[in-house]
Amino acid sequence: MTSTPPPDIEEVLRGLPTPSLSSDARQRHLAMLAELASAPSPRRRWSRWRKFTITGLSVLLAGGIGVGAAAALGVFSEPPPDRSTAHCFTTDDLHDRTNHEDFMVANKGSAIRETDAASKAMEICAGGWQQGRYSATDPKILLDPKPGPANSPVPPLVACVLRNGQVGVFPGDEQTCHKLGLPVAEI
Amino acid sequence: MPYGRVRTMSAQQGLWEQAVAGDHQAFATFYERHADRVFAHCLYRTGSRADAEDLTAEAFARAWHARAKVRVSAEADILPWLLVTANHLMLQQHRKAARGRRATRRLNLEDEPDIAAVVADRDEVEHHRRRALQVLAGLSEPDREVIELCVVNGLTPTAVAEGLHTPASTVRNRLARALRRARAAYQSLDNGTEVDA
Repeated sequence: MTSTPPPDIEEVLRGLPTPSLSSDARQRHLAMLAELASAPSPRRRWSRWRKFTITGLSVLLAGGIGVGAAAALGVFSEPPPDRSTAHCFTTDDLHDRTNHEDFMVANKGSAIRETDAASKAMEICAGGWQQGRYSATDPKILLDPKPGPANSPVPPLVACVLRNGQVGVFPGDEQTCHKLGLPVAEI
Repeated sequence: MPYGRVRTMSAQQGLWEQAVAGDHQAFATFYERHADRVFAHCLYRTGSRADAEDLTAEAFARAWHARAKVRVSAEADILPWLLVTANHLMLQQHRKAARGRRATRRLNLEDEPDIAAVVADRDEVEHHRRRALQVLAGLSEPDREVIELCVVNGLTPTAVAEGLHTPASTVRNRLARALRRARAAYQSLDNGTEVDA
């Protein structure tokens, strides 16, 4: 009986792949940086005591008004879901940790409508299937996937609304969402 | 002689000066050069592509705002600064997540970031990668950081030292100590589970 000695950890870490950002994310980042660059420079800083006094008073005033108004209107409720993240699944299993990956369909915190998030998610996930990144026969998603055959077939896909309000795209049809106890996302 | 100093600069230091002066295109060059590295670094730590994309954007946004203060080394330009900033952002995010775990549970996709989810052990290489990342995740923050910078991202101790305003000898010593601890952890992990072929 022989055992193979494990490789040196340094060697393993040096050989880690460098996963790439999607072109969609890259475009969003560059647009965000262009926006930052075109924003006017911050104004002259106030002295510390003045800033402290004005900020403190403003916070107290705004807080008082806000809490009072919210209480009066009864609007203490769940915040709207952050739909900027969506998920591609390779199987209809919500508990498998290796069958899905998440990605952004809009900038974090931006108010994106469910229909827009769902169409964008469908487009991105279909691209993943087409490029062979996702496979029905081998549903585990790797960081460093072996290149699949170009123009791989895209299975029928359906967008469901996950329990946190984000969109998950699964292979299947509306029945898949129902089976998982999730509503179908509107596109 | 106004251009005397420029002659002693590397091309990337010159480009960074343009970025500092507000040249967005010059800054975008640094983005193109390092975005994948920063993204991979965040992905290995968080296990989430969405979080890694967001953290990458945030790290570059911070670099833009702090560009006048960021020191560029001829060897590694702003990469060490970006990676360490990303680490700070991840620690902040982790603290927030600990407060808001209720929201995560509602996701029904689950809990803590898990490297296993992004580096599945389909074959032997992936198996060793996963083990190595597990060891890395179990190290102290300073040990982990110096290994990530010098080993995973291939920066020289001199480049890291220049980027982080630390003596190069300190970085070398930290790296040697961190690798010793990582090797010990890796071996004990493998001894416990290695199966005879």
